[in-house]
Amino acid sequence: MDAALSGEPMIRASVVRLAPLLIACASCSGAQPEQSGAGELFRLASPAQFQRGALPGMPPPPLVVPPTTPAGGAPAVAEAGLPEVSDFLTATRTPAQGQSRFRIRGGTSPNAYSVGFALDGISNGYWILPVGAPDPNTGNLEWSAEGSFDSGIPSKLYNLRAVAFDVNGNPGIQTEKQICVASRVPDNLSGCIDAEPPQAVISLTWDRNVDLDLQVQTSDGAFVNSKTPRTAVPAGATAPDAQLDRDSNAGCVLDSIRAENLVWQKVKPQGRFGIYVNLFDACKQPAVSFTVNVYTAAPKAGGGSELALSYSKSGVLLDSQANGGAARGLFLTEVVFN
Amino acid sequence: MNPQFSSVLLRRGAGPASLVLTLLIAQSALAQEATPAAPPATQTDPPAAGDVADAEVTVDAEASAESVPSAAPAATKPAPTAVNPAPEMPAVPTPSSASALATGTPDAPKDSVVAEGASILASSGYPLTPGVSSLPLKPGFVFSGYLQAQYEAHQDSVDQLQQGGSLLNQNRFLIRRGRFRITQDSEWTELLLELDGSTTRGPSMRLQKAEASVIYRRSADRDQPPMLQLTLGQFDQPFGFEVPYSSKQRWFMERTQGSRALWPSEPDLGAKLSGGLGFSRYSLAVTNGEPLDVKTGFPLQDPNINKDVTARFGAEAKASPKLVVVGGVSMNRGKGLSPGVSATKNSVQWSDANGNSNVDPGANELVGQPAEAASLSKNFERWAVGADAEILYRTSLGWSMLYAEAIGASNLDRGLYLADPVQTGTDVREFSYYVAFTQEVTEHGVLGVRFDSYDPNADLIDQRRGKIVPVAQDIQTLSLLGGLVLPGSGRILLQYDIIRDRLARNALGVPADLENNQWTLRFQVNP
Repeated sequence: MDAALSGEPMIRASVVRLAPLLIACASCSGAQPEQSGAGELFRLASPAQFQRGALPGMPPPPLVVPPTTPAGGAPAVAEAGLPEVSDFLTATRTPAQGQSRFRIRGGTSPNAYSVGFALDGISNGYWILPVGAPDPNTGNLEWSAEGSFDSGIPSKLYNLRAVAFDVNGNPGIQTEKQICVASRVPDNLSGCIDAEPPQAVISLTWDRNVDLDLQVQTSDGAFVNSKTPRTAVPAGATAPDAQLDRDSNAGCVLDSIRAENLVWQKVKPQGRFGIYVNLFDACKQPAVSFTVNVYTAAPKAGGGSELALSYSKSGVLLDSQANGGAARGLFLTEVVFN
Repeated sequence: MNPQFSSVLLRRGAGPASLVLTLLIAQSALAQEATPAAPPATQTDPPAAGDVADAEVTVDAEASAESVPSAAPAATKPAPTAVNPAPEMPAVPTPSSASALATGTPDAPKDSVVAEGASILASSGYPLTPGVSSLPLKPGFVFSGYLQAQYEAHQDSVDQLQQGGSLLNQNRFLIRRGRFRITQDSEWTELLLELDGSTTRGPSMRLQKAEASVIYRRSADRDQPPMLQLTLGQFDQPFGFEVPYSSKQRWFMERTQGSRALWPSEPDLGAKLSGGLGFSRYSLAVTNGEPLDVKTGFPLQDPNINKDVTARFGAEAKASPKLVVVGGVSMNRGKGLSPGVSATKNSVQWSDANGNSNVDPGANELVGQPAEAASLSKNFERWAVGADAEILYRTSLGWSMLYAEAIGASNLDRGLYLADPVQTGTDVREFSYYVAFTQEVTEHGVLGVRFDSYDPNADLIDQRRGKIVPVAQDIQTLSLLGGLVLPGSGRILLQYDIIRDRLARNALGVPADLENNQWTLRFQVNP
């Protein structure tokens, strides 16, 4: 047996002690959100910066009262020394799941240096946006930003909160704006408001930018696809029972929505429907994973109706299965509507 | 006496007797050259003829040179050995001692005694004028290489993809460098080919260096470069100290941020004249100006007719066997190309002005984009000047090295904040500097610390509350290094980089430090 080198047992013991630490450091994924905010479901584009922690500032009063602005002067709250978000405007109050470039803009009192934003129940921190030049009419400082809503945000009502910070980083009183994150599955905003959802929806979603098509053979034998996106118009009716909402990534012109829905708005479907998924063009992608969900209108807990998932099935198609529309797609399943 | 000395006597017009005597001496000396010296009693027998023939292309001079007697007299050829039976040795002086040392490997076994003034740098393993180092003659093909495998962890890693698909996670194992080198020498020429395998940006194998050199007056001193070396091919650009310094020898994991921004990778294609006279060192290169890995879109190509000129002029002073002081000044001047835009066809653009996800032509959401003619590409001037200084001192612990470099540049950032004054309308001034110190702890350990700073735009402005204010954009890095060295075999290094930049924003919206420190554990094997 060879003699041990001087210090060898000590080195071995040190390595043994350090190994778990190194492994732990190597595999740690960070318990707190990343500073980049790349993993956030609600994001603001640069120059906004993500900050960890809850949105500072006093929560808004239960009843939102428009701030009173003295003629020609700053808002009343600003006079008290606290910076304030004086205007908070959005292009719409119904951003969709997965929507980007959602514009928000507004103003702050002149003593503000930045504005923080957070989406209630979604944000793991808040976004800081530096304010811009003053409005020549009011003297308030203007700001604007573009937001993104991840497709993983559940469709419902949210409060988008904003708060201004002064030169010392002190926050003012929060301001909030209620928005409805609309579902990618057409539901007539029934997740947010009391509206009747469609009677049924067959929804196809997929993960890569390929030209994938939803094809449905209706109970009367008709074939609905991107070329014939509507069911036949029933006798005495003026509109078809069901209609495809879009041809996503058609011809590899990428819209990145990667979803197609066949929607029955008014009439409840009856009978057997065959569901096919066709890979028209792989768009240079090696494969695509997809999911077909079938939703039907169902009573909501608090009254009214909402879309409820009644069937789901997933699959994978390879680029070699792209057919350019020369044949029907992959038969997935047959669903029966009663 | 050697034949050269004999010819000197003849030229001086010595008398007939002297002439005969001189010729005899010269003939004797020539005969001595032609006959290998008798091998020592312990030496193995010379190889058979067949072994010699095979050895012409399979010799590993890195190893074989170990068996060549050191400090061999210039006129006396070493006896052929079984390891390195060089078939025909040239008449130039043969470098002495191990060529592993001559090529400057810091973790190669060190000479225990260094004669005053001779080969200090080669013995210590720190070639302080990289790119202009000595060229020991290595007849036959020499294969060498090294591998750097590492694990690195970045504080800003996140399990997401960047817009466009690039990875945001940098916590990973990777092969940073896997270099394989072939060299072949004759008296007047040198061939060098180096391949690099890496997984840094996905698996790749590429040409790192390809040098064809003509050499005049090699030196027996392993610290002394040839008087003149003309190289054509792909070589490290001779700017400053850090750029041409070998990644194999550098203790720190990577070059400094500024160096990597201005020269994203070391090699470029062109011609280089380099060498040394006495203590002076010079290197002058004319290159395409688009080094490997530039992010301007033309790596190792040349989008304009102009060629970039890069030069370094310096000196090496051996104050004592324990102290060497080196310094130099560098310049680079060339032209970059701001690419134009290709012609476009008519198109329609939809802007969802009211955010309702519907096309509303009445709301001016559809805008016609008329066809645009191609815009012309334009050249712009770029330059850099720099100065570097290195001090090597040997203590009882081992070699200490203190070195520093400063670079001022204009429109030269090709790796980080790409400079394009044609687009921005103003010239961009860059400034970079660093100070580094490494200390060997016996021959089995090393410690190091380095501070570097890079300002990619000294004239940057920002808007704060509608007012334009000058802002700093500098990135400062403090690197702490420690490692174990296996002399002649490899090293295990751990480095922690504390990075202070302005890539994030604080609660006031003011640029602030992004948490992106990193550490790297590297195994390097260089047999």
